[in-house]
Amino acid sequence: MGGGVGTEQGFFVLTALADRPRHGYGIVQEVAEISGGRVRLKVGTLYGVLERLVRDGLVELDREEVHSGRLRRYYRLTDDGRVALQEDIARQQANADLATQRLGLWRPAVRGTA
Amino acid sequence: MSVLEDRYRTVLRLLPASYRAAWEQEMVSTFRDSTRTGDAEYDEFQDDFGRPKVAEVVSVAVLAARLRLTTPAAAATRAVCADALRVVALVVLLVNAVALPAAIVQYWWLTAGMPLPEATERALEAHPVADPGANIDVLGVLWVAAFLFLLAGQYRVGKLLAVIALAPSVAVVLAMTVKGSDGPPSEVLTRWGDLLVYAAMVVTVAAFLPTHPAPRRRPWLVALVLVVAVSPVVGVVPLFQPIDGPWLDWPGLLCLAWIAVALVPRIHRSLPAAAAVILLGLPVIGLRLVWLAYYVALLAESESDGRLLITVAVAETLAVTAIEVVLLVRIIRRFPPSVGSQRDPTERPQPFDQHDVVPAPIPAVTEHTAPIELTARPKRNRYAIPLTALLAGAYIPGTEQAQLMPATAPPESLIGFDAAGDGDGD
Repeated sequence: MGGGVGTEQGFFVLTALADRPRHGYGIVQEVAEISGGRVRLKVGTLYGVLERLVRDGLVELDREEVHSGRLRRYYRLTDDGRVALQEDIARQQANADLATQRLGLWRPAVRGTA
Repeated sequence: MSVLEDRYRTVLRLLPASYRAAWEQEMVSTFRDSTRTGDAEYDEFQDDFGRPKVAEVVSVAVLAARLRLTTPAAAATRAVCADALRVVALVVLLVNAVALPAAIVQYWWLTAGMPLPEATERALEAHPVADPGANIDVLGVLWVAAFLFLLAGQYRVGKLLAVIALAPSVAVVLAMTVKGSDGPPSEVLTRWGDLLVYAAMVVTVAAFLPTHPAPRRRPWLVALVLVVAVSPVVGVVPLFQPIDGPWLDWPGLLCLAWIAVALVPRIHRSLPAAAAVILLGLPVIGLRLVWLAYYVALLAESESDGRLLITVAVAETLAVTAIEVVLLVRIIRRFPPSVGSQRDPTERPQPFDQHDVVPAPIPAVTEHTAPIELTARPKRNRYAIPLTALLAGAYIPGTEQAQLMPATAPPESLIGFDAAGDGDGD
């Protein structure tokens, strides 16, 4: 077990694998969808993230298939991966709660006061 | 395989071979899927004529850089390179440190009536030297100071002194650039090339980071003593060059010394020492080429007979370059491989733990005479110090000064010893 989710891209890759195993291009498509098109992974980026997550034990190989004569590897979350994703969700939720709370404290400045 | 796929595989060659072995097939498959639009005609056109988009190429390049720079093996490689740079820095300071005593000995030789070749004596009688001590640059002592401070672990002071010591040479070249040179037009360009090579070497002192322990003092102090002991020879040898037919200038002497060091097998048993030899070969080649170009230009501009010197210089360049390439190929094979995931991701269990295939992290080298050993030979290299001294001594630029000039050339060009070590002769 190495590092955690790491980057936002790592977070989305883990999220894309949370419901079921996916192959590389399936991850690219799913990440684009769940991020509302904001995060579009390039292949080099995807496999950089995937390699790290696999090395850290957050993701593992589920199965291999040959599709149209080409190799497709499907990946799934490990138990450690689920824990890491949950921890990252909690961290982001706490950050969001904090920011929301601070915004609620905001009061417009009154002219003539220090 | 489509043209597009072939081109993408070419891009993937940026990645380390071990990484490609594990991931290339899958990456190509994913890339190809990502290029499909559903329009069969367009997809076929893309297959035949398409190229990977810039963003895809950049993503692979970034991945390649990360894999090569951040893996444990890459860290081990960086540690070796840093050790080699520290060795280079100390040798360069030693080289420059020898200039001052050599200049003093040369001055004494000329003023004390010591024997000289007949042709040289005639030239000196015809053109007496106004100030034989003009070549003695007392600021040369700063090189010794910088060397000693680095040895003492006072890195900031050592680096500062090294930069200050180089400043006079920079000033001389700048002045020559502004005022112009009395010599041939190519001289200013040559001086700049010479200075830049030396400056690049001095920059290696930056490899002494605050976190790095001081190198072991005794062997380097012995090296300093040996270098100073060699300096009289270096100071006098230029005076015995045939004034009407020189064949060995100081870059040539440097080439010969470097070759002598590079051909000693024992030195290459230590990886940082071997790397240091290779790094030192680069300025040797650089200086050789700078002055070779100068001689060629001089030959074209005047009727000086420098063909022998040029021929020898070309031979030296080829010899040093050939040895450098061989050493480079050999040392690349010895470095630990750069890895991403060395293993195929289908391997189980623990298919992705790369740490067991990488050599254990190498500790920072604190003693350059007992540096990192990736091969089994822990003994100290007994020849390293004297050979380093020889190499350092050969750096002294004592004979290059316009040796292509005819026999009636001003004596200054004969004795134009460069105490600053930048080849400017001032």
